[in-house]
Amino acid sequence: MNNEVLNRCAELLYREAAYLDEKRWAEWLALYAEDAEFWVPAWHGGRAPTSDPQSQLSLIYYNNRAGLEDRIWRIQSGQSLASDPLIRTCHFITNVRLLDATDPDEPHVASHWQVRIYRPFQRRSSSYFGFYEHLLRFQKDQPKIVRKKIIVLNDEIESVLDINHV
Amino acid sequence: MKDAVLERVVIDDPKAGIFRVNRRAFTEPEYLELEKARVFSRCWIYVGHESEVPAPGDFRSRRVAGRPIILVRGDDGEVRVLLNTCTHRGALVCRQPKGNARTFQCPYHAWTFNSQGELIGVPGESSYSPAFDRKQFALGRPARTDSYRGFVFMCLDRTAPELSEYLAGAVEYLDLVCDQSETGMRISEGSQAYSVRANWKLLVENSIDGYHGLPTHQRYFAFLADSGVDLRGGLETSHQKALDLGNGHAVIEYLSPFGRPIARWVPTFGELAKARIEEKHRRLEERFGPERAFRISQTARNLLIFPNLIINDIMAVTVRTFFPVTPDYMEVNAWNLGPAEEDIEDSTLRLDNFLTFLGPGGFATPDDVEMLESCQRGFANREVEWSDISRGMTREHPSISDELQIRTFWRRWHDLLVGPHVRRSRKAA
Repeated sequence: MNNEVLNRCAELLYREAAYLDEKRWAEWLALYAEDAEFWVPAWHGGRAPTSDPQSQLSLIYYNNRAGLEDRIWRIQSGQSLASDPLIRTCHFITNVRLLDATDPDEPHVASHWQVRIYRPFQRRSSSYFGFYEHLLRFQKDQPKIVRKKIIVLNDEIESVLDINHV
Repeated sequence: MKDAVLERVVIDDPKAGIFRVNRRAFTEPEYLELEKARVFSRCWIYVGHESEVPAPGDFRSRRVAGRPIILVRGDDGEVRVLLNTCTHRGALVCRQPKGNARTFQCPYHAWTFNSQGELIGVPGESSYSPAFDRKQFALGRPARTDSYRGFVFMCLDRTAPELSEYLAGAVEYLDLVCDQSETGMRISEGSQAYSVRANWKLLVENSIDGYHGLPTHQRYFAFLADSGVDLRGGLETSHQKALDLGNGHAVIEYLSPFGRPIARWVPTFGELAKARIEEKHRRLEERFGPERAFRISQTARNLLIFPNLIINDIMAVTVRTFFPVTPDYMEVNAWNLGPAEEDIEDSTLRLDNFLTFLGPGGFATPDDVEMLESCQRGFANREVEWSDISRGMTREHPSISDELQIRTFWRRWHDLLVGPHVRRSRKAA
């Protein structure tokens, strides 16, 4: 039973990564529930990530999908200097495991990730890496991401941080 | 480097309205060495905020102007800056970025210092000669440390003027930020650390540049307009000014196009927040009268405290410092500053404002960073020698889209590197 849930979760995580890397923005957005929370904490004192996005600083925080829609709108506008359409990304997701599958239709999933980034204009490669936590909701045939928390372990950001860099 | 070479790095001719900076200032290592010696070792440099070390023993260790230091509140309640290097053989005595400690013990040979920096323990002290005097081995301190309304600065130059004198006209603008709180401003937990492949002075220019706002951030302003913010006044309004505040400090102040948690409501804040924000405004009027209350709440300001502290009191308040590692690479740290008494609804609003615009993951800072790196790449065309910073130079009242505030920085930079005498004689020439 748990293997089946785990496979279903991993498939969704890999699909999300593929949408980001292939710049299939509309499909990526459609994976998120209306009330989805998307959170990249900052670090405090180098020891631990910040723990409360409402009173402590984050790197990125949205408490609903509208915020993600704004970002995609910005990326697609072609007018944001930093959202360089040429930037190539490649997500690697591994160590996928269930944190809580008491309700198999709302599993809480942890994984490790690395994103390799290539900026062709600058002819420069770099990478970010860290941990994901996803709260997923499987309903009918429409799996949704309800919450995604991204811990960036190398949090000295190289120039720019966008939703597809992590 | 000969001063004759330095002299030609800034051309400042107010009469003719000509102001140029030679791009070597952004690319050549010689200038960085001079900056370290004549700017960062002589000026008052921002270290941190007292709210980061609220209780006795609280400390933060960080690098300031390239030096590892400890900002610590001693058992006596006093906030000090200690140089983070063991007086024995050099190791960092504090390896934790933050915490609370009664003592700092060097992990190398276990020399122990108290929170005031005094040496209080040496293993096997009897092996030293009678000439060994603990008192001479207290942790080093910057020549001067002082604070203004919670902002702690250090200065490595014993002959520098007092902090209050150094801050000059910037005090008025720090007050406008600090007066937003009835109990004191506080730095939130968490900081944003990012690097930019550009010369640090490009970020100084950018942080107080009112000219770049609309073209560089057109997506952000379109986003604001879309969400119901009235931008018809633009940034050029009757409530705008650009000022030289003395000693290289400068500010631009303008009617805020953004909503401000203190205390300017906009539709994106939601109807629920309206009464709360209006109440804050009423309290400000009670405390300061309508004129100053209006200024505190309805105008925004981008403040440079020379050489590398930016306090942008805009849709949120960001405190930002940066330091050059090489001529074309800098490290930046940014914090969120807000009233200590702010409730969770308004701090949520404030952080949302902050993150939407500011920081490496925001809507605006990344576009700025991209432009700074773009300038630095452009400087490879060494045949194009000069950057132009003359906008509004012959106007009596320069606007925020002019470049007076940027010239203010460069004039001070030039005075420190070359000496005021040389620049004035050049002006006369």
